[in-house]
Amino acid sequence: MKLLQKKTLAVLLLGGLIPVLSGCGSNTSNTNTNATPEKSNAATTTEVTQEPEVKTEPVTISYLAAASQLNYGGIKDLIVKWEAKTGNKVDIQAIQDDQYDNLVKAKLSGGGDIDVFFGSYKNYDVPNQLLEISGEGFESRLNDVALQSLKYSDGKIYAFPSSMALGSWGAFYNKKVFTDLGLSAPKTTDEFNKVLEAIKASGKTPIYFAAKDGWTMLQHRNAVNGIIGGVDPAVWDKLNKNEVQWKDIPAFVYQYKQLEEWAKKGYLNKDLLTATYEKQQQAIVSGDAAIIFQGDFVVPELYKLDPNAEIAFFPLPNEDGSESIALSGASQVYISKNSKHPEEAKDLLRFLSDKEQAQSYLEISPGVSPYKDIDVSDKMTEALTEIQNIVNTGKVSKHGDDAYIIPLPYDDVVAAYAELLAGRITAEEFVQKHGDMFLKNAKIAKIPGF
Amino acid sequence: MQQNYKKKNYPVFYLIPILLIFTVFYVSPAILGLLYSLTDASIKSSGITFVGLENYKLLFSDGTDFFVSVWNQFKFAILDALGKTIIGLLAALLLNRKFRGNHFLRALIYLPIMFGTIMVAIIFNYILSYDGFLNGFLEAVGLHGLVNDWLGSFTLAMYSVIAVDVWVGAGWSMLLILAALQSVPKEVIECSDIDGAGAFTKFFHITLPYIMGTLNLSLLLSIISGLKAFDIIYAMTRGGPGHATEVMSTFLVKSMSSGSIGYPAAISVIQFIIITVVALIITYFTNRKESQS
Repeated sequence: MKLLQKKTLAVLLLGGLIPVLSGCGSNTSNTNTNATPEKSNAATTTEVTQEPEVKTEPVTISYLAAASQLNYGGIKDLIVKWEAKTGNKVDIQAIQDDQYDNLVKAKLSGGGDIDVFFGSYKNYDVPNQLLEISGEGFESRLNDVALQSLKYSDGKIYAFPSSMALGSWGAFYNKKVFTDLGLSAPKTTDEFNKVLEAIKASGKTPIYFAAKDGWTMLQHRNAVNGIIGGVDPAVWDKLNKNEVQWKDIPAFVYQYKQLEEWAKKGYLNKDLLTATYEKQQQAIVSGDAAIIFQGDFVVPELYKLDPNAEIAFFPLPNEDGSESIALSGASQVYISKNSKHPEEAKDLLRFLSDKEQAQSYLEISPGVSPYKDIDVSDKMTEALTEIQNIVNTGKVSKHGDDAYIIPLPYDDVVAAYAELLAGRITAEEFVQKHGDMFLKNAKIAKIPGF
Repeated sequence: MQQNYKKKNYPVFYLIPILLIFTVFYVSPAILGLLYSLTDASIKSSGITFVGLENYKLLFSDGTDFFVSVWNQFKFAILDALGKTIIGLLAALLLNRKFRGNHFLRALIYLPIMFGTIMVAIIFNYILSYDGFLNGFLEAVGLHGLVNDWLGSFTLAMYSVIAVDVWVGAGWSMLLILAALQSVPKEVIECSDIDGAGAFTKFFHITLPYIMGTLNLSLLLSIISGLKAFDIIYAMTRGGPGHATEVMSTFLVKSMSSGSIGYPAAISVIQFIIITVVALIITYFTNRKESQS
């Protein structure tokens, strides 16, 4: 009886330990995986004395990107080209845009299997999470804006440049609607308000917002940031040092008062709170809406919907008519410091950023090139040509997301935009909330000076 | 004496495996979460420093957004639980009768719970959008006055999400209550029929007391489920428009944008405390009522 009880207890204890050990078992299999490269390294070492051996075992590299980023430049075809050349495989993981940052952060902090990914330095523990990539060939080929954007605060480079065109933001409009109404691109807000009134009187929607896809509303904010940077190029330094608050930036407050007025005067679409990015594109291409505030990445999407669409661009008008657009730095592509295949990942990114592939990318998705040795002006649509002309005149300022050290409280800003556009808060309340939410994020992120 | 001791305690041995699993997979992560909430842990840096109640101070001094999310969570939980229980009760009373198609209707009402939450959210996003199926139907039948931006309206969005969740979960409540209705003695009902009791009298004085325990259980479980609701809300509205459908769970997810781990951990600890307190209160009152009856 005693023996039977002991046996029963032993079996039960073992049964309870099985789930625990199965968790350890997955670590054991990781250890076994890690052991494999060591074995192959050992094999390589013994063979080095005979002849140099390049590891020929094909590997699979994970490539994480926001879903929308994979629509540009034929990037998937370029990756297939590299796979054919090297025999390695790339596991492309497309993540929904608004979940991308959180998912990548979670994977990195959880030690997940991640090799190549996009992002922004401010979202990561750069020296500890990203592989340093200084001294690569692309540095001499990038223009100043792009090169500076890749340098971290310690002066080193931790990112390859994506061949994606440098981003800019402003008002994209249906030229046919303007022509039919005898309108021209406005320069001042007074002119802009007259244009909006005329469009409304014609029965069309002057400005189309797509609040269901909250990130689209923030493209208006990017355009506003282009103006404030143009008015005072030092504004970002002042904000980063907490020397000025958002409510103390006159150009910023002015633009949101304008937005509040547009909402009150009925210049915005009625269904803006449930309208999607797709509906926004359809509205402007069809001419049901005249203007959208967007980034230049929207242009190829519009032409996919209608190759005959006439889409043009003007910067978000300012009070005094001075033009300024934000220009983003180069889109950054990282290699995780814990990547199991750093050399293969570097080879992939070198390939994607070499002149031939970058030229191909930009010819498919033309825009302001980050490279000095690539010019695709002849492939640009009217809107992109207008943007390039403004860039050529030097009327550009830093993109807010590149310049501001405080992480964007994305959901709070989107919520505040929805409240402003729905008329539930005033422009002053929006500006106050905007400042408060960034201050809160700065405190949570323990940024010095806040 | 030894024999008696062993007889008394040997069932405890059978609890050891489940206690181990519970400790490893439930208690340990909860304790880790509590510890993280007292630190400045962040996914952007590897160092961790103990900061005491800093995260909690920041949470409670952070304007009204967190309190709005708590209020919305309670609103969601209570209305959702009431909706599921009342509709479940009505459906159970109907389907407790014998008629043709009874079993088919039971399966139909239970079916929505089998659908994945994300799929339900995507489908209802289409149905409830401004130019979606519901508004199209209302216009087609001449009810233009009822056309609304169901998920875009600050006043209606929360009720729209609750309605969808009730549609999904009412079948589960119906099944629970239907099972309880089988326990109502038929002889008592027959006696009341002989005595000339009407339908309402029979329900309130005979049926309801018998199924009260199950109704309380349905309410309790629905409220607890509502207090931690996340997926249906996040998938349908992401807490918007503005903060109209912001609940504690969505507030927690959004707080991760700063990169901090400690701050979201603090929110999850507060949510855990709120849910535990509410569950204990409801359990206390329902047990007291049952023991009195």
